[in-house]
Amino acid sequence: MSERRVVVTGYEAITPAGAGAAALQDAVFNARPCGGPVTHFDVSRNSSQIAAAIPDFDPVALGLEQSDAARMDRATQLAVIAARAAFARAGLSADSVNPLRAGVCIGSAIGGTGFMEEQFRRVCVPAEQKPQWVSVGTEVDPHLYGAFLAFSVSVEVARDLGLNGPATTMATGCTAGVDAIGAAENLIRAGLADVVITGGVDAPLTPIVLTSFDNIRALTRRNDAPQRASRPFDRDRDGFLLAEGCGILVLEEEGHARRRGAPIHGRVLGYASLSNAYHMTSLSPDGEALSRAISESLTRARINVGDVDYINAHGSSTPQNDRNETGAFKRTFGDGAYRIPISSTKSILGHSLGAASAIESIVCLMALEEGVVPPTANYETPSPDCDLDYVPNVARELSLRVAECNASGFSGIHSALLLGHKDLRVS
Amino acid sequence: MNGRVVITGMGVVAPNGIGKDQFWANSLAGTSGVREIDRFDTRTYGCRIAGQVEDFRATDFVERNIVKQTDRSTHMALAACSMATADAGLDLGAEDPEQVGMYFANVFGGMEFAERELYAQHRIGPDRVSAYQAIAWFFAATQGQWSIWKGLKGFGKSIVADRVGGHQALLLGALAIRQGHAKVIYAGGFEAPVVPYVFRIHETSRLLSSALGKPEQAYRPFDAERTGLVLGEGSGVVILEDAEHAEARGARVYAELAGGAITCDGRSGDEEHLARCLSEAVTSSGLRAEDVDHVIAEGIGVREHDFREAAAIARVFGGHETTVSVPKARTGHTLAAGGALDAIWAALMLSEDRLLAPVNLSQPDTGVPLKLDAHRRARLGAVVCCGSGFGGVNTAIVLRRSAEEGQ
Repeated sequence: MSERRVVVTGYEAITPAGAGAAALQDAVFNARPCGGPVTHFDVSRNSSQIAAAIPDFDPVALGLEQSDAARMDRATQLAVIAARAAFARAGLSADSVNPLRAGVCIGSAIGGTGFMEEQFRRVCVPAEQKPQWVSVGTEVDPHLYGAFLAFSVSVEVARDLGLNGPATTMATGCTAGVDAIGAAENLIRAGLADVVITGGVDAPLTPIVLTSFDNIRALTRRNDAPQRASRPFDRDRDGFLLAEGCGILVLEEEGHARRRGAPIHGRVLGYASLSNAYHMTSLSPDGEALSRAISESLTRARINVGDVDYINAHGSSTPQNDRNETGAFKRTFGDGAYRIPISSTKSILGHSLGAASAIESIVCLMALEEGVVPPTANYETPSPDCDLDYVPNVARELSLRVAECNASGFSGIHSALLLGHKDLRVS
Repeated sequence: MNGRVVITGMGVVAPNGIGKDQFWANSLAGTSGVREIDRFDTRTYGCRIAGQVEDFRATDFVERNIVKQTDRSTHMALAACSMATADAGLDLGAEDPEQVGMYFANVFGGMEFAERELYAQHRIGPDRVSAYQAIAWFFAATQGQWSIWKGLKGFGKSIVADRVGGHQALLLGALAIRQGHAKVIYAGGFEAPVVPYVFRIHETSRLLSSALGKPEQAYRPFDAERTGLVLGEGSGVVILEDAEHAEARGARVYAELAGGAITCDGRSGDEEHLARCLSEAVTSSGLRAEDVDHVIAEGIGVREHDFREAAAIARVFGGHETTVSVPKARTGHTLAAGGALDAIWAALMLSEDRLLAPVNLSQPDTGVPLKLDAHRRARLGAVVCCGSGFGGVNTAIVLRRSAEEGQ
């Protein structure tokens, strides 16, 4: 059997830039940062009080039945709506795909936490006696189990599109988006599916999630300037801007896509993921583990280190991440690191946890298709520990063949995904 | 897919025993770990029983400061990982750390830890939320703790797939080995759902048992007197290993993880896609249905679910001698740990050439056309573990007698 190759035949995004891939493209390539004060819950006792929210998200206006929307957390609503659009853009329908050979693998760091937390807030009371901490009343929403379940972001998509292939939710935290895409690629290469709906989604603008990151000083405290708060690789970066979002991609076996004349946006060339075994939240400055992940993705894709034309960095705007990443790029690419344009989409959209790297993979596909490298917004003052070409503030025309998208997260996970131009000849 | 993947070690923290030996001995004896819940006040709950691990002390296995920073589900998982390492005779110091990975599953994350912090957030103030909430609660917490503790730098993934997460972790872990991501993978699931809010959340699934009295007899899969799903806590971890790697270090092999399949019902509600899952799992292992001696069913003890599962199993294996059991009637359903514990039972059945007698099965339901009297000693060739979960997902994995023993 000849080797099975994987292409991307559709994508869709719902981000703080708005609903739709066009809104994403406009904001990212024109460097229009998102962000604002958090107003839908009380943040007066938090140090970070800003975030990047999806403006005016209305699931029913975007086509979801009210009864379906009611049993889903916001994350699942986003996934179902975006998956419908990506599926249609790929030219797929119930007639053009064998549902037995089509699966779903979407990444999410926190699943339906927002729904769960809101119900908890309504029913929790102090327990009468220790060791029990909490008593919870009986009046909870009857859909709570499925709404909280992180698996719903994937299986509700399978149900909505009528797909009968494999389904799982990749729950690796902040690398979940590229990890889901990598797992989807592996399912197709192994012959377990011909089409996999993948990507990432998170809706983390909830009190406990903001507090969790805030209390370990991971978030930006630039509350007076939310649209300038996410400033990856800049000297004055001070933490990430919490965001919500969803990016869905349709991965397809190349022969399957070509036989049905599908639009091909690019190729999935290779994926690798490794652990740093260093610390749950801290990173070593040398970027050793991330460098290994990128190198292994190159080896698996049979791409030479000199053939990477663009890097979409994790670029979270925390002091340690951007230093770690810069170190990793130097370890991997040597002097070549100074010649590769690198940018952080999080400078514009903030950090949507498990969704971020899926959205960033879509940005890479746009860059490959359009021949334009997106910029890093809010880049004003060079940082002594970040001295590479971060494509400051203005997009750059450049013909691209190979783009690298990487992600790092808690638990020491580092993942790297290589995407190629649709016409790239692969060995 | 090429390259065989074998199971060379196992670690267990289950309501009926900690460690493989106690777990297996108590499983043979039919000892139940299901009892009334006394950790919280259950008076407002419809379900008041669960499989509980009573004599587990986290500090026996995990450093005290890590115990404080992590959830009970992580404690039980790290204990299972440690026991699996010892059981496999795996010298981690001699392994390439980049070739040792993990593939874990859970449903609720670290919710015992998170419940306290949610309470602090909403009734005291965000400044009182623990700094460890950020790393104790999320689904990938355990893989990070195990990776850092042992210096393991390989491929690590954590998934959520409701009750089939454990099955999927083993199947996808084996796939990762076959695709060259690692030589050794810790694969399994863990769950600590005996917590007030998690129980309230799970009540909305409308699956839980409402049995009162005689808790050890409440979980009755395929029995006419079934009372519903009984939850349990615990962890199950196996060492998956590239067969050549295992052979090179002279490892004992319990069984080969020969194949598996995942399907979704989509919009269908009947047993069609579960039957297809079972049949594809068997085919992917290079076997025929008649080669499968035994099926470990999920058996959640809810009427329509048991009927659907029984119909699917009967459709694929009905014409053959294949017998069926639900060992977890002894422990409660440990959710994502369930598939891992089923695989451990299956591996022990194959390596010990023994099946487990049914428990809590006094009158098999007339709608269940299965051979449930699996009380025979036999030379077993292959055992299938299957399950289903929310939204209509199905997963089956196939364990086969290891080739090293000769067929």
